[in-house]
Amino acid sequence: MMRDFFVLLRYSTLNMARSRSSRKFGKFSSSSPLLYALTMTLLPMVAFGIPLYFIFSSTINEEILLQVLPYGSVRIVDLLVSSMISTMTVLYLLSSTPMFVYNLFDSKDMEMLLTLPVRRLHILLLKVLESLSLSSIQLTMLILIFAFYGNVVMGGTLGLLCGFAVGIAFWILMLEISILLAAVLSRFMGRTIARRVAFVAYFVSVMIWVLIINTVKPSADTGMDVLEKLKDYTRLLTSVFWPHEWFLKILDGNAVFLAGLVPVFMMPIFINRIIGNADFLSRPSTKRRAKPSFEWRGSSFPLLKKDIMLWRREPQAMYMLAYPFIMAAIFIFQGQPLSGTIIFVAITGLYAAVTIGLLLRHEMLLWPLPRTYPVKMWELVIPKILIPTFGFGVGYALLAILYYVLKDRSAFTLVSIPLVLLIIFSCTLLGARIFLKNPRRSKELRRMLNPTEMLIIQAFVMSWAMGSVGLPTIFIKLGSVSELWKVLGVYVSPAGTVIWMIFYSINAIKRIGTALYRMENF
Amino acid sequence: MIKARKLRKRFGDLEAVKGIDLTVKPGEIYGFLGPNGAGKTTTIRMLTGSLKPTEGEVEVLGMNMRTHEIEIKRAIGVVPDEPKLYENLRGREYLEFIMNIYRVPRRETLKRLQELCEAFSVDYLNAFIGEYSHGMKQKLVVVSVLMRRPRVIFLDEPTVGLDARSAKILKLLLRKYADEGGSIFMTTHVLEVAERMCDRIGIINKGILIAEGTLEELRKLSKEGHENLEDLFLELTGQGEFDEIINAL
Ligand SMILES: Nc1ncnc2c1ncn2[C@@H]1O[C@H](COP(=O)(O)OP(=O)(O)O)[C@@H](O)[C@H]1O
Ligand SMILES: [Mg+2]
Repeated sequence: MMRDFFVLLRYSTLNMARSRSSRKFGKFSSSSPLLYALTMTLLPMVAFGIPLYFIFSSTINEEILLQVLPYGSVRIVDLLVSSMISTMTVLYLLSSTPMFVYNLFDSKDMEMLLTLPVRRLHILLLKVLESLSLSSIQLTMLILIFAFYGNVVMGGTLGLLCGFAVGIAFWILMLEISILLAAVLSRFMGRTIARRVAFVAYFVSVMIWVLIINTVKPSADTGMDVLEKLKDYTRLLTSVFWPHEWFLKILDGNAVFLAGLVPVFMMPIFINRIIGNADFLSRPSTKRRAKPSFEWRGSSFPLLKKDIMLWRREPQAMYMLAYPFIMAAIFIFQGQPLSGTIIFVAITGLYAAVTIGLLLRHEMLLWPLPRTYPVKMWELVIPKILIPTFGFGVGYALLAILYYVLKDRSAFTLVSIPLVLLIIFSCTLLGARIFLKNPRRSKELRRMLNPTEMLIIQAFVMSWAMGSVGLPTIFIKLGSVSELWKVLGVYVSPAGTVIWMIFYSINAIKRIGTALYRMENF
Repeated sequence: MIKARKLRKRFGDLEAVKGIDLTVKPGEIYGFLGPNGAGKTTTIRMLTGSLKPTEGEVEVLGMNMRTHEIEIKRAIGVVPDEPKLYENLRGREYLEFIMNIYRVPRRETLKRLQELCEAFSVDYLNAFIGEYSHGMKQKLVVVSVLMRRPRVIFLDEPTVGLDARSAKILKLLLRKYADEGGSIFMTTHVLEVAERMCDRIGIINKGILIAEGTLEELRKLSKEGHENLEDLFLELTGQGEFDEIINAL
């Protein structure tokens, strides 16, 4: 039985190792794909885990950890570990469950695997293992925290090892829960939905994490308020309803909670039941099969409308739009508008380049169909330039105006708006140029641009941002420099950068034109 | 309605199409028949303006492709060989996009769309295209072309992904459109399809149009006087040595 599984695993990892096509690992991967896959999973665990553990444990005073909090019998270490584990558990479940569903559906080999004489549980297990490397860092941290707890409450190496073992048991339970959820969800979700849910859940979990970090930080409340809040928080987190509490109690020497191990062994039976006849293949949901109504919304800009729709549905779009604004807002309203603007421009410049790449990729995936539309090639590209330029540019303008009205009425805030708009516009053209140099790109977003291309984009973005916005602000603030430097920094640098960007853009437009002409013969 | 003169296409060293002349008249279904890799897709892409010929002229509906590319594209319908569509759009949204980009007259198109959806049992327009099967996408493309009712339709291997019922309906519709004065150009590598659907057949092999005519004319043309088209096709495309191969197996 298990032999089947290892055969499956071997060929699956062979496939993975090949498709990574990294020169460095080339030889290694072909000689032993299983080893390669294991290394790729374990390497980050070891590389992150060991230093992380030492940093973590060395910064914490064990004496303090064992002190009992003024409410109940909870020690500081219990609160600390519980809060970390519960956060991580939630993040893990949120991000891994849709990922599993997506991997089940997305795998092009599923149809083939289902024809093989192997058990469905094995196929599911294979798919889980394939997607495991994505969450290996979260996993490492989870296990390490258990090891840390074992070390603190039991003491010594034995405690460490027990903690490690219990951590693995807990992790297996989490994995089983997310597989179970995935198995259930896969009955309701189609592939497209699963993919979108997967990415949205991932970013929501990042947001939640940021929020938690910010709420736990004592704010301007009175000391008593903080204490009261902490009390509720502690009660909630150390409640025995949480599965992780059972496992922590085991380490604490409470044998009753060994019963917590039972579900770890029971779970596979449940999962096997649920997936007994699942087909893992995506099917259109029957609910949607209602007779479509043929209402028809006219549009004078169908290409723009379609691109906006596609962009909106790009799983990363929400994140790309939210992240730079959140970062910029945090910095700007903490009284560091320059850092805020520079960070914003650096991030959005890159995102603008990636966005246009993403949108162009949609057309390339259906090539040559877009060539049959009754429009010129340029008309296909223009909406793709407009979307990132205005999406990010208008956002920045709003942010800057808000800052100008609420806080600082310096003219530079307003002057920065057209500058930022020009930077983003140039970055969009840069992105288009780089993408069109080789329009046949990987379907996978992760591999759409190669590292060199990313680096080039970042270099351009940073020079443009520093030259036009960064240097002038710095020189305005600096009091004690000679007049000459001031003129250079405040006027010459932005003027020069603006001229550079304008020339770059004109040149880029020409080159994109020739690239499009060549693409006509694809 | 469709005219090509000395059409040539070179991909680097490979010359995929080597000087093809052809004419398709109104009311005619023209079948472009050839083995895999013969240059059918390359030809159809040049005829529809999605590929620039290395040499030669294309004329559709009396307009030259070089000077009136957009006008031609707006007037014709194209069903590509693979139904690749925007996976993140719903079927409904894709159709809306096509209606808007071709600026079709609203009421008739919607009416035709409704009929076509019923005929091809397209009842999944509210789902994302990413969830469609190959055949479902193929049907969506066919519907999106036919709802515009173009006077010239190009189809690249249209029957490949379709079920028997849909293929039959498509066949009947194309016949009807041709009888009403439209021109249809379709490629296929399947003999029966060409035999049953087409008024005139051109046989292409290795980028050269080696024979052309109605079924009758093609039979006459054949020197050995084959009764069925299959033998003729194999003879013309130089693949007649099957007996030897089969015997060797
Ligand atoms: N974009 C391209 N670049 C290079 N070679 C191509 C390209 N498109 C087609 N070819 C080659 O041209 C020949 C004809 O292909 P095609 O027209 O697709 O044949 P088919 O008759 O099967 O549709 C093949 O040998 C194919 O490899
Ligand atoms: Mg073809």
